[in-house]
Amino acid sequence: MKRNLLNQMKKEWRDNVWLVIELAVVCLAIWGLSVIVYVQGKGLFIPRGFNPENVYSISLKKVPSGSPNYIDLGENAGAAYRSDFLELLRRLRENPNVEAVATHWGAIPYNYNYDGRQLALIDGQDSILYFGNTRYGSPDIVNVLQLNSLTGKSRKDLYEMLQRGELLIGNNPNYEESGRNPRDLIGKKVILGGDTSRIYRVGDVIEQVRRTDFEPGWAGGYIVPLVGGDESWGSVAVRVKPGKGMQFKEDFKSNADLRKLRNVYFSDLKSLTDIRESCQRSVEVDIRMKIIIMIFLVLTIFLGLLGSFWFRIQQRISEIAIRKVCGAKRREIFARIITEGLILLLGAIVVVGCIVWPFIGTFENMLFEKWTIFLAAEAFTVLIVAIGIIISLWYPARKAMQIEPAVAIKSE
Amino acid sequence: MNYFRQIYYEMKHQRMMTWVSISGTALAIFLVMAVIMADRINTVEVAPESNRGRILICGGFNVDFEDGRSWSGMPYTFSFAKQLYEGIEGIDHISFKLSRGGQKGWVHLKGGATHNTTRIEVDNEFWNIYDFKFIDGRPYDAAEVASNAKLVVITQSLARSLFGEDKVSGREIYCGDFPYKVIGVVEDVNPLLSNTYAEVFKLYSPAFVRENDRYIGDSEVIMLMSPGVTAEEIKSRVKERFMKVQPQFAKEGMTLVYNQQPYTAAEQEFSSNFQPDRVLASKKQRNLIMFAILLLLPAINLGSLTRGRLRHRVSEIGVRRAFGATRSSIVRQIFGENLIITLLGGLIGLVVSFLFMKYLFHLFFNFSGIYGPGNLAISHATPDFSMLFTWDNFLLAFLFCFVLNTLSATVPAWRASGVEPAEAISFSH
Repeated sequence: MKRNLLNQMKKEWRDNVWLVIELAVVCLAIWGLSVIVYVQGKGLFIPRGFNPENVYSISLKKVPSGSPNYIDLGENAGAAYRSDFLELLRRLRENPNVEAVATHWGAIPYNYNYDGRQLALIDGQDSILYFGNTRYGSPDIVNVLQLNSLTGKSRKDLYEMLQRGELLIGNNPNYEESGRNPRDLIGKKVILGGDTSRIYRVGDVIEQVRRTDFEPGWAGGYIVPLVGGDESWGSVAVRVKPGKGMQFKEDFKSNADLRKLRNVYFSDLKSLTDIRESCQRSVEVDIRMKIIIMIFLVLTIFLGLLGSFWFRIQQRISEIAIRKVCGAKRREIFARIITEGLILLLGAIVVVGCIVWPFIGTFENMLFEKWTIFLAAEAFTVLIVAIGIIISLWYPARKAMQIEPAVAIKSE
Repeated sequence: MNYFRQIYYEMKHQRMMTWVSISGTALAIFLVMAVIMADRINTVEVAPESNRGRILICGGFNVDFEDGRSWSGMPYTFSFAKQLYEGIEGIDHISFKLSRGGQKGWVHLKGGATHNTTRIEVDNEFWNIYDFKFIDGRPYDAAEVASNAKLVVITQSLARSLFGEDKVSGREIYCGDFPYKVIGVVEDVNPLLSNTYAEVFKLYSPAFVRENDRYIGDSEVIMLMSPGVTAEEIKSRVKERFMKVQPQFAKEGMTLVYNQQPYTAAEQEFSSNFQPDRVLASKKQRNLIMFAILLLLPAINLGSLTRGRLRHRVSEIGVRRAFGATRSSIVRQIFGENLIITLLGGLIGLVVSFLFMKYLFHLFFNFSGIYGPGNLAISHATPDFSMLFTWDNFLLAFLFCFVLNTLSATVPAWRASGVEPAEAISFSH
């Protein structure tokens, strides 16, 4: 039966060669695209380490002295600026829609700033090879971002650590790759980027806060406490109570006392989810575009196979009828047509393998990925195209199954 | 008429195959046209950028130092920009614009809530280069720019959200913490028109900018060429100016790099590259490969469908040949019949691509750089129908249908027409 099928396919070699070429082009494109989409999107499967929902970012502004809105406070201007800012923070915290308010410098994710520094132990080894992005935040940043301890500590504990001036470090995968465990650093005294003027104690290890959902962990880092006098600078991050976002935005817009006090004011209220959308847009659009190209390719194959096999079955009506007369079951007829499609796919995959083989090393170096991902992409490609083939051949195969031998042979 | 009857018969007889052919064609034309339309958004001529073909942009300059350092894309001081670009033959208007275009800006009424807006700062000539439609008031003039007046033009939607009406010229708004007089209100600009998109157009007076350097300043230059003048002519004149100031740079151990300035709308995207013309050429090459794949795959499919359809018409073709039809007349007949099906599929594909671009464009195309836009309005922007319904797009869609038809129908038609009448008729029986 199988040999018969192969003989039959050989007789239609011209059409089959075209179909194999077409399938090979499609498989090659889907294979390449799926590898790239995987590499681009794998960050989505790493835990975020924070909760971006219900978080808002606010910029701190100062009325310039030349403005007609400027209130001249004479020599007290500096002190008034600080006290007015703290008063505005207090008003924000008292708003019934607000859960937590923190001041920060670069602690909010979804921006591409990178203030990378290396940790160094002050007792013991000189370097501990822990490198990360520095994010400064007041203790409340723990509650605003809902940071997660990896050692089972509560957010209250993390808050108190920052309040005591301790450092929270993320589970940097680069550090772990070198066989080290960041938990071993807990309790150690460290300095940041060679700055010996301030010594920190490592408080705890938290889930890495990366710059975007798509980036791997290297761009994560640690939370450096902003305490005491430092609290009077930077930007403001607010966590509102669930479902109270609209109400908070309305309050912020309509209540001038919540925004402005003498020469200090808050502006540019933005939700973190909107910031995320802007920041990740280029990657998301790129991934979507690649997925739609894959869908197009599968659809093209679908239409191509559907058309070709439709005609083939019309030509083979008498043959199918004779097979049925000779005892072939409906299921066998169906399986024969599907097998024919899958043999073509097998041919295409062999062609793709031959084309890709010489370049596979280049791909591997370029994408820094292991062999497994290439094989997984190959399996994914075969699966997707095989599903396309089965769906496209299902209708012609079903038509072939329904052929009544007597009617078919009579028409001949 | 004969074609249509034949087509109608074919469609009726081979319903399944007709739908497969039409869907395959529609899918191919949809994708090709979507890619083309997205690409042409950077160059399509619609208000207020109706003169795009004649506009040249000079965003910045590059300098190499003897010690290997370099500056890239630095904005000009007013005096240096004038030295390079003012008074060039073939230029009708020259405008100076603050280089930090598309800045975020907070505007509010006195004591009112702040509105987050996008702001650009431009001089009076800007309004002569771009054809904004004024709903109220007027643009600022040369005298107002010369006196550095505190004036702004705002868009209709901003006027409505600040004042609740369109006719607001003469009223006061605060940009940041300083009061400005609204002198005009213009129709909103589509955010995809990156050189003109803003909600606030603040008066820019480059002569008043404090400059700390002889070359690096705050300005970029926009020029409108006279009709009939080509970008190459202007580029060669600008190159001469660059050569003229070169000795001045050499004295300070620097080389002013001529980087093919000024840039056309198509080149502007690559202006930071040292050879935008080469980047543009490779982009064209990449697009051609993409179009070839997008057209070739469906063409293979449609070709095998045409071949299949013609197998059923062998006897008909044989009879035609027996009655004296030439091979070429049969090829023409089959080609024409196929073209009608292709055009039908192409029309569906074109309509779907228009709808896709209008409503889903923002999900699949990014016009705001790799770090994302400063403003969500830009990321949610989709092209207006006026940017899509252009004669060029219709013509290109027709051309692609023709190419697709040629690729898919010529060989099967030629082979089918070669059948011997006696053989064809006996074969059918």
